[in-house]
Amino acid sequence: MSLLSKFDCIGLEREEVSSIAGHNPFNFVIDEILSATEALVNGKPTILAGTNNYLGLTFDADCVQAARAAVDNEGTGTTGSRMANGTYADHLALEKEFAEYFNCPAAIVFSTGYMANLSILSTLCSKDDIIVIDADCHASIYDACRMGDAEVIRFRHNNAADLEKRLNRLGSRAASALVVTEGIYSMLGDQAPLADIVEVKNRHNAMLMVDEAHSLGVLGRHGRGLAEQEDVEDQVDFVVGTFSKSLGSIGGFCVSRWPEIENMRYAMRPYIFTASSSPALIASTRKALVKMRDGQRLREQLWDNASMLYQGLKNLDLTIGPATSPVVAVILDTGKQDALTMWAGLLDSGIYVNLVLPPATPGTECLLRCSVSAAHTPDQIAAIIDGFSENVKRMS
Amino acid sequence: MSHYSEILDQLNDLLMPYIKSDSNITLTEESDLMNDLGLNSVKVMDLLLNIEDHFDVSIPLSELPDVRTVKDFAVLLEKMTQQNQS
Repeated sequence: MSLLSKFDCIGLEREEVSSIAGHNPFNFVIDEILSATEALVNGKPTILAGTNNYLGLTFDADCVQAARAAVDNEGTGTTGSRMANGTYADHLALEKEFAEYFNCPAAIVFSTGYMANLSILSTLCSKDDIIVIDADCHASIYDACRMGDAEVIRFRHNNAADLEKRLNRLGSRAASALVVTEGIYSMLGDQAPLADIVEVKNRHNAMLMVDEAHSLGVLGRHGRGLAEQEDVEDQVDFVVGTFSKSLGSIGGFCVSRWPEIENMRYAMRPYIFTASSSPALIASTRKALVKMRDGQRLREQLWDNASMLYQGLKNLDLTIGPATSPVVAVILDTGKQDALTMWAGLLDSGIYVNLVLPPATPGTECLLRCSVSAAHTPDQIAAIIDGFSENVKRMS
Repeated sequence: MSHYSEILDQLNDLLMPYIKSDSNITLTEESDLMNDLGLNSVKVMDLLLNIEDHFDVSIPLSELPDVRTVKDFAVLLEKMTQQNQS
């Protein structure tokens, strides 16, 4: 048996999936990107409804111009990590702007959102500490926990009573616990019961980290996420997030009400040993942060679009996620073949959504996951609903 | 009846709902949770939460890679429940 033979089963799975769908949904190729919401796929104009481009800022003229100017002025890359090669002034400026935006004393910028979770969780909690994570947390949180030395336990998804039970079991050790939850969950679009979770963690003197990856720019009057919406920001210890959704670039961040995270920077191996973000990414993110902060109108448009899609798919009698959200998941319990056929049918109808198969889904069902953008037009949302309608009829 | 035997009996009862009723699987201490009982990773994680509730323990995720069989699980639960009592 060679080292590579354990991947043979993945090869077989890929062949099976491609033979059913006619395309490989996990190697989906965009021939040409036309706008924040449209692309050419197999030569056909296709509405993008699976990009997490919530505010549609990827083609914002000011962000594009800032990136262009940064390439001209600072070059294409930083060619190394900040600890080894030095920090560009714009990286520091972005950290200052994040700290101000969140009214926090400290912020750290990372090269990806994945790196942000990996760095914070694997460094903050050590051998005698405990990380208590929502069972449906993102893979980056699970991976970060595996990388560190802390004891890791789970609580039932979005269940503050279950969290309380587990913190009770820890007794006095709960004071060394970090509770981890997300703002909006990426698969079903549901929100954490954050006010309840804050109450529980306060009773046990535990700390709380919220991953606002999918809620940044989406929730809260200024777009700071679920903690802002629920008015509990002063009781959240760490907020992590990504630039790759609402901010339309690539990168990650952590802000904290604890200035000591500035010392943590020098202990975070994923941060120390990764090249820093390119000047263009930092420049476009700085512009996008201002647009997001002042983007109440964009948020209203996003939620109007989300409501239209959620209601439209609900009217088709499809099983969808539990609440209106920019993430609208159609839940299919009839098996992988139906999910693949429907995904391919939608693509043929000029609509791209995400296909998610177990075990990447919260349960045993398959998902056709849509993400809505403020940049979608009402006509595009109507076309997505029509696409689902046609394909549901075709398959019934 | 030993503590281990009690745990094993209770564990078997908790595992039964996860085994397809039309299958002819016989549950033994040596049954492999994934290969013999056909539990996928999602079902194992769901099962784990139920078992934690039943025995009033929180099992660290780092313990799971060593749990392959029903016996492994029972031994782990015996250790954890004894830790709780001490």
